[in-house]
Amino acid sequence: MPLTAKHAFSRRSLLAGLGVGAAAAPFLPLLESAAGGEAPPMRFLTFFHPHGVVRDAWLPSGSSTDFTLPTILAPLSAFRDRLVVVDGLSVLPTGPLGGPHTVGPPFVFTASPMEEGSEFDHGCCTPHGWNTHASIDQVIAEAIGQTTPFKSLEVGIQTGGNHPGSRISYAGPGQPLAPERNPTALFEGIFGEIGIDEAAAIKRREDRLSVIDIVAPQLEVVQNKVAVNDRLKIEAHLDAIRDIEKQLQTQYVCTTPPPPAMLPYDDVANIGAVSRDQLDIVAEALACDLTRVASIMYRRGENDGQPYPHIDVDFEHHITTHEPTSNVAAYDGLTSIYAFYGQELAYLADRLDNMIEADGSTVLDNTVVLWASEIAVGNSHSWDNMPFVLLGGGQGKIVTERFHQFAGDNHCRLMVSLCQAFGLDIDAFGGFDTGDGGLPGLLV
Amino acid sequence: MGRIATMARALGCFALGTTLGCYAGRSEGDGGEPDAPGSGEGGADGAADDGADDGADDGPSAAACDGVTDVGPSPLRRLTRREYANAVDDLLGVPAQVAALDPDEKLAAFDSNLAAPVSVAIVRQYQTLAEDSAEAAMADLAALVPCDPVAAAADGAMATACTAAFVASFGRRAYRRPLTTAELDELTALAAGGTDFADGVRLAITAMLQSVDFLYHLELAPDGAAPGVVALPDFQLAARLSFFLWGSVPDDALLDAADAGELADPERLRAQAERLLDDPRAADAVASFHLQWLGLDNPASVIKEPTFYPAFDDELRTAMWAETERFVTHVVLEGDGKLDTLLTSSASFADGPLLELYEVTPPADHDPGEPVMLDPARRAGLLTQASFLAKHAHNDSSGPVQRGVIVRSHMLCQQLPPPPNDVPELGPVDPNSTTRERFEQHTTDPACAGCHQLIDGIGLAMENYDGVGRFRLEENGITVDASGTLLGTDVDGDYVGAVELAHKLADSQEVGDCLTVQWFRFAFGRGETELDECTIADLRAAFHDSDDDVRALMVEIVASDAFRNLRVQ
Repeated sequence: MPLTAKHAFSRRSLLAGLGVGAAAAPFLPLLESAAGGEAPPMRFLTFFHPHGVVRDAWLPSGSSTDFTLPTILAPLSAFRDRLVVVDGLSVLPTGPLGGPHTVGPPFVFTASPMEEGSEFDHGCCTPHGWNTHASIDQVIAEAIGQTTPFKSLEVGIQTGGNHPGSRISYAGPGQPLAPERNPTALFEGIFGEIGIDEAAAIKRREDRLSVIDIVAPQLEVVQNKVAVNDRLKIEAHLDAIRDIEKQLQTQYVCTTPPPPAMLPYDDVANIGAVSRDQLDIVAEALACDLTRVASIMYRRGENDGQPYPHIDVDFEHHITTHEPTSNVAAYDGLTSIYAFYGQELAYLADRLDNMIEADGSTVLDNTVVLWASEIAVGNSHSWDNMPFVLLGGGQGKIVTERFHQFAGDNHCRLMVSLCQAFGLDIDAFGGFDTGDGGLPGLLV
Repeated sequence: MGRIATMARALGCFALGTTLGCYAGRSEGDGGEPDAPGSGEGGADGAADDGADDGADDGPSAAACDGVTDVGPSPLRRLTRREYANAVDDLLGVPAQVAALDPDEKLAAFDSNLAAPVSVAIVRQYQTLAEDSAEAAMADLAALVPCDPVAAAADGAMATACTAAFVASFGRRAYRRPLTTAELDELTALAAGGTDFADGVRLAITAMLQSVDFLYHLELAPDGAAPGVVALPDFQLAARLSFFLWGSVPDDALLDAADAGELADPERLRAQAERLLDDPRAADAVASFHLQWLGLDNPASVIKEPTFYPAFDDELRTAMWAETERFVTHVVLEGDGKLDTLLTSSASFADGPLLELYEVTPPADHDPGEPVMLDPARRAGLLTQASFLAKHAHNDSSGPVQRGVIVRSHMLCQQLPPPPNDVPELGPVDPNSTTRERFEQHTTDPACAGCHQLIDGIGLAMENYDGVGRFRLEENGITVDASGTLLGTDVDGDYVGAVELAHKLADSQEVGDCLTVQWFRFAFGRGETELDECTIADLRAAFHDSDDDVRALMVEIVASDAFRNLRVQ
């Protein structure tokens, strides 16, 4: 891994996140960055929640510059100066269609068809494989994630499942990236082992490198023996091991944040606490420039039946989205669910806005979060009027404090504009693209 | 409309079912997704057509397959969580915390990690799990290594010899083949770098558990093999056998048999299969098959609203699942093994709060290892067990759609077209009516009726059981109407209640044919392709000849050409 100047500049050989001496070196990379006079890096996040929104409780009222945020978006009011609400875009799929909850997550983030295939067949619908394209977080990570210890983070909160409905990030065709849904594992992967001393941490690192020296060559041998169709699996395993090896060999200095609570992370009652743990880890990793890209996935697109007892919503989520709109109690509950996600995004934004960069801006000023769901509303499974939200200053590259209302434009156009904001020289994104370029009025 | 053409794709291909044509509307839409909680509502769009396929076999006749030896390709698979946990338990005697692993891919009903490659998060999980498992095994090192660890710690030469012997024997089971000299040398060198004898052993285990040979089902063609069908090498056959029947690595006896070339003899292979089925470890595979087949493999997803089902708690749920696991292993491994028994027996292994739910009191001298008999007019086999009924239900009510869909898709291997995107809104719940009345829109609205007569004709016949499987004669003070109609099957007709349904399904050849395909998928960890048609035809014939004996089917699968061979691509 190419080291940035700041990493090479580290004066002390300190492992990632050793709980030792780290407090003495708060956010050293940022300080060094200031010394070098570099602009802070831009960051990109995707943020997913399942099953669309209650449209009346999501859609702002007012004009494009003077608008009021209803219940679901109200938690973001504090950041409205760095908020963009994008209504009126449509996902316009091609290729094999499975259930909309299943294919929606990849459709939204890759804007590309599912692979032809028979791997995923739920007793209905056209069977299909994984998706055919990299997701937007990975496309942007290719451009901005090469110099950080972690090219990107894939973060899950009670994602469950292992199918297209439970993945939003793809490295490429047929290569979904599994999110880590265990906060302890996510934390230790970035900041090092919890609860061991420096000597033990050094031994752990050396042991891991020694083991990699044995298991990586075994994979290389097998790579040439498996069927052609299977080589990608071995290559991907090898690539993952090499990434881990480089991370073990890279020395960087960050404040070790407080470790997450070791809660049963799949317990539905803990979704709120697990969310905060995961968001804290993401925020700390961004602040220390350990990564510039993350995807954050809550639960799953496919038919998520889990309730939300922590906000007193005890019904099954998915089935309730099919209630008639006359069922006021159901829609009140659904609104509470989506407002909870608004609050979680606001929490993340607040953390990022309290992290000061070398030039005095905040991390949030230099970030763009794309908040999306796999469908627009549950009752119809519609892919029209998708509920897209952008949050963060985007280092001034995005026109913020805006409420856009488009007329059924292809959502690929939003992806194009986002890529352009991150410096990619493209005018089309994904397999659904119809050649219309970016969205008007989005970029400065 | 109807039959799906089989496809010769490299990956799994679940094609031997039938697709039911139940409406002529658009064909895109939400999944019925019977595996997930809260699934299955929705209507259908467009006018009904004449409905169902006859559901007959797609495959060739057994006679047409005489002398045909073919087998579909086996894509590279990673161990499932279950296999990983069983293997670590067998190898180290410690429980692996596999809940921390990324969930398994589910292809049709069964867990199998054959499509997506791993990413960093999963490889890290393997790293941590290997370290933690090896660390846990250090608590009883003496049980693991072929020497006295205290003595070895004080004697360098002894430590070296003991480590080498341990690595060779542990590695043979973990990799399911003898290690090469180079591999032995590398691992003992790794161990020699440990801080002491125990640390060296721990390091070697940690490495072996992260090896490609441990983590994947490596079924590799012999060097230089030409494309086509070749005999699966002996050690790989041993592994295929033990992972099918135990969900775990082979034991030394099986590896010795492989080493001696005995598995190439079909009769000795059968004898090994019988030996494995006689071992307690076979219970895990049998239970897992049935739980996955019936969509019961994630009990934690079954959550009920306390206001509707105050008695439903972890203890009751645990008792429900324990009953089903014990019942299927009892029937298949200790009993007559018959599908008919699985579907119609009123024997129950209910315990604790489940006895109360079933309203049964065992006699005072009841042996807890033996079943209690439930009322055969109310309970008949798997479909009337509380686990099945509670899983395929809503958290505040029963689930006619879920129950109908799972029977259609997993027991009859029939595919239902998806509900349309513009599902008409269902009326609100009326506390003064029954579930059947609420679902009547499904069959009175022609947009819904095409499909829902197929689904609800099964599901509504199970209305004598509420959302946790308790028997009821009334719902909201109104007598339950549990009449049903089977359409599109070989046992079509009107009937009343789940017990009659269970007996009809037990008489259905289509159910037996479907079960054969399900066992094929479970055994091979992949879907069938057209290259497997003759294998499946032969297995179906054998299953029927055995009077639907599931245990005999498991042995027939092992003895099949497909199981003993490998397609080289």
